[in-house]
Amino acid sequence: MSNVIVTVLMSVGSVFVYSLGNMDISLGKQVGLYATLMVLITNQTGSLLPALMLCIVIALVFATINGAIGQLLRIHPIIPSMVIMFVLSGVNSMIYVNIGSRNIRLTEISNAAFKSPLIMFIVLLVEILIVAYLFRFTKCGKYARAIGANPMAAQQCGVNLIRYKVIAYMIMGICTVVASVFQMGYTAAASDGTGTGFEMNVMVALILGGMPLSGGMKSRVASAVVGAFTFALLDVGLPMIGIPMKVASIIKAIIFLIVVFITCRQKGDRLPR
Amino acid sequence: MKTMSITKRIAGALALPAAMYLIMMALCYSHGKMYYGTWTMWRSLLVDIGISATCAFGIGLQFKGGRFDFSGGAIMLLAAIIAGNAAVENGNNILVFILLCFGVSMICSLLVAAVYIYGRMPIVIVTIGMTLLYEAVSCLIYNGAGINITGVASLKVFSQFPLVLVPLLMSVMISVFYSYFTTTGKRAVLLANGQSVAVSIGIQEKRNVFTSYIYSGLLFGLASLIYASTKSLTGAFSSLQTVGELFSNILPVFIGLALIPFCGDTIGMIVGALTLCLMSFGLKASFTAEFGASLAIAMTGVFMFVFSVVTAQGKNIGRRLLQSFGGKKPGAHKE
Amino acid sequence: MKKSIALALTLLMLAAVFAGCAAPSSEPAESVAANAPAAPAAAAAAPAQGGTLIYLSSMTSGKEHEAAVAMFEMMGKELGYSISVVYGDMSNDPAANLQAVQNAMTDDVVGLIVSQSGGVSEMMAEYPDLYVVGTSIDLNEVYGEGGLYADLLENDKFLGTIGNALISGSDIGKLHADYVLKNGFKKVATMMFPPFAFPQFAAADAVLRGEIAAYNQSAADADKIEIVGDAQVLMFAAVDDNYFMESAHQDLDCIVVLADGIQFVYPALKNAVDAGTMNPNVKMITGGFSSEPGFEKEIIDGLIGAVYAPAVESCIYSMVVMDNALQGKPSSDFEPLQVDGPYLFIETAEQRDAVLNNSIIVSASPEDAAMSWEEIKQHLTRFNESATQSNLIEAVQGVSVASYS
Repeated sequence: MSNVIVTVLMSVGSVFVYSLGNMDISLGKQVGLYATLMVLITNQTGSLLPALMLCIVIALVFATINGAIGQLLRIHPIIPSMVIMFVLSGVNSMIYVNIGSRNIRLTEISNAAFKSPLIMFIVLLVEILIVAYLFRFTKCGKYARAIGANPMAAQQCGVNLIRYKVIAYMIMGICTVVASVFQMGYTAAASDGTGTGFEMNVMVALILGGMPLSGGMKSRVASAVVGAFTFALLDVGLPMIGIPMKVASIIKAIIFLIVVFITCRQKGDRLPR
Repeated sequence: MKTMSITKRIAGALALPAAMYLIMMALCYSHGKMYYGTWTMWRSLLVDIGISATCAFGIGLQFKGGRFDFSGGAIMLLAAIIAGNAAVENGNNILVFILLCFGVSMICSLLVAAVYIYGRMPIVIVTIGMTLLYEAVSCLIYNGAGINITGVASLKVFSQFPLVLVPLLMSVMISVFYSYFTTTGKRAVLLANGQSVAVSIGIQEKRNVFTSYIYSGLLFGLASLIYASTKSLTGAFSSLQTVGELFSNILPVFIGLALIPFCGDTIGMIVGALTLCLMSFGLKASFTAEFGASLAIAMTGVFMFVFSVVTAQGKNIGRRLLQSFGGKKPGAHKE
Repeated sequence: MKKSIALALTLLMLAAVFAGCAAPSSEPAESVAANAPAAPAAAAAAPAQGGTLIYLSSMTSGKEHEAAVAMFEMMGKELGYSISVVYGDMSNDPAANLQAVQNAMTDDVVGLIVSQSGGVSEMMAEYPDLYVVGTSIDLNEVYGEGGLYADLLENDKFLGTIGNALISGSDIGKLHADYVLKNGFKKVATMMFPPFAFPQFAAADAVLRGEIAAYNQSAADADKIEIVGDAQVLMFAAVDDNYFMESAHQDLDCIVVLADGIQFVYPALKNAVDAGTMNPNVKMITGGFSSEPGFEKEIIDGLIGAVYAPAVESCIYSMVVMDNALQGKPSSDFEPLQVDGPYLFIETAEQRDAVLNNSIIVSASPEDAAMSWEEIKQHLTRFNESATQSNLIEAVQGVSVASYS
């Protein structure tokens, strides 16, 4: 269940960034960092709140870097996220080297709340509703889609590209922090491998849900929900029905290709880009 | 149009690796690592440059065509596992090894092309799907055990000097041949820069894509020759595990594209691979294993960031620096 | 119409997810409780009638993994269990390990055999009625001072563990020190996996250095042994070529690798020797055995002077302890101990050939195991009520290279 909830929470938040036509490959490392900080600070202070606040601040900083730097300095938006991914790789590794252990465990508070399906459902529902509202009915979402569709046109219409890109990344960052709470909370532990590959899970989930990777007006929050659940179901469901893991991987890949063939196939005389 | 003098071209091409070499040399010497810059270092570095550059050529070939290909790492892994195991089963036969490296890489690449062309799906999605498939296959074949030929002297020749130069030089030749001496390569540039116009004037996009994937398959085959020989490989049991390989080897592509005005993208990618390998070697040599490995990864990211900023904003930065040192303001006229 | 169908399917999927994922310990616990006793000490409950054992493996492939799975499957078949193999996380992430077990969990699972420590406590909390035993894992998180999972020792369902060869760093260090001293090496270097992940190797390195320092105190100057520098830490990646470019390392005659040297050290060492920058007579003593092509000549005759490898037969201990508990018949002296695993120390060509030709870690066939099924049965209380844990430990720890000669 934790796998499902984390993927869905992250995917829903990522809709904003993917609707810009961007992708963030540092998500997995961010989850690892937030989970680690939450365990360490909570063990020190006895409360999750300070850790949560710090993680949100860090997420907002990363969002500003990712959203603003690319636009300001005219570099490809994947470069800042790649930099953050590389830097966090090194930082995470050094944290555990200094701690002297591969795993750390939450000892000061109970993690029962994070394992409750009801709480997971409520948090998920609240996040989906908030993000969906922001995406459909507020300027943040509309301008994010407009920027993804045609940044030049959006800019000419008076949209402040930097501001709305930063806001998009901030929304994704906050959703990532929420996902990290559940990732850490389910086992009350974090390790140097926490979060590995999560950005790829989000990408695959969004693609499965029919999200256009180039962003634009066809982006939908529903893509994230459907795609993330589908992905998680495949991940969890195939082993559950007794299919060996090695065979399950091939089946997942084939199902992925079939689903995207149905949903993403384009007609025309030119090959899609 | 003014063309750049040969001196400027050479200086522009070599400035980056030369600067990196000097900085890392100073760092290493300050830590007592006097072997930096010796022939022994270069022999070892050539292998790293070989993998990095050949992989970059494969990725770059598609990147220049406007296609971001995630499947390169998975293709290399699968080719290495199949070719390595088959070669071992045939008495460590190097011919089998070479042929299968090329064969498997090309078949996998062509499969990607076929799915892209006939599936008519965005290339990123196709390559992600094919990466998942190839990784899953790598876990199934030979029970996911992968291959370890680091102990087989006859098969690991391409991971040692001087034979490591063979795949490197061949990949340079293939890349140059494709880009400058084939109509496919030239048409690929047209398609990348104006797909509608290019198709409208009669360029067969499907044939072009197919042919380009044959070439990138060849390049990945060359990369897997070295890749298979340098370390123990196992099946990819985590989804999109091989994409990390892609992101490590795409950096020379970015550097190569930035150095086009000086030396063209092919030489530029080699320069990029050389620069990054020098930096990685220097950092790992200077610092302890724990710190050095983490620092190398982090510094690679920072370096790419700085490099991207400088190439994107270099002229603006230069102009502002001149202004601050009493140069002309923009718009000021000569009197 | 299409949208309505899509919405209906989505709602159905969501409902299925929450129904399937809710109350994780309800169904499996109920069915296990019907078959298994509440505590090992209570012998009155009915014996388990088969079922499934989940084996959480730390390896995904390779001969050692195949051999372990083959052994578990053989023993499982004889005892009426089916074995479900799941793969742990490469980084030992607790959440990923727990997820792997959850994905494999079915109604008929009666026990967990774990060779990954991450998430063990959470697994036992999630599935409180399942017995858990470690195999090829030291579980220092349970037994170590101030361990993360020390509370598991209070849990009746925790059956202890058998290590991946020797557990104590001190024992490992002494073994390697004896090899160095016996073979008269004069210039030695050490390498190891990171201490934060493998603290026993750091302890072994310290003991090794202590033993050599003690030797040097009484040795003549010409016989003293030099240990060059601190231990080189291998951050789960191969040693860099630059290690063998340092002048202090180029004339080493022994490298003690407290890690899988074949994977992480051998390629760079071989390159350095072939390039002429390294002493061609250097010998590496390493953990991990390889029957991969080319290595049969390298072990003993080549660069690999000795191999210290865990024996796959450690899985026999785990299976016996698990079955005894599931049958409600733990041995009279049973305690959830942390037991040293058997190991193979190969330092001669004859020993190497014996392992290559006769051992299960090359053939992955249970017929080549050092203990036959008839011998294993003697330690199962369902066949032999007087079987004891101490006899079992002695039998399993008695597996060595000599068992294959």
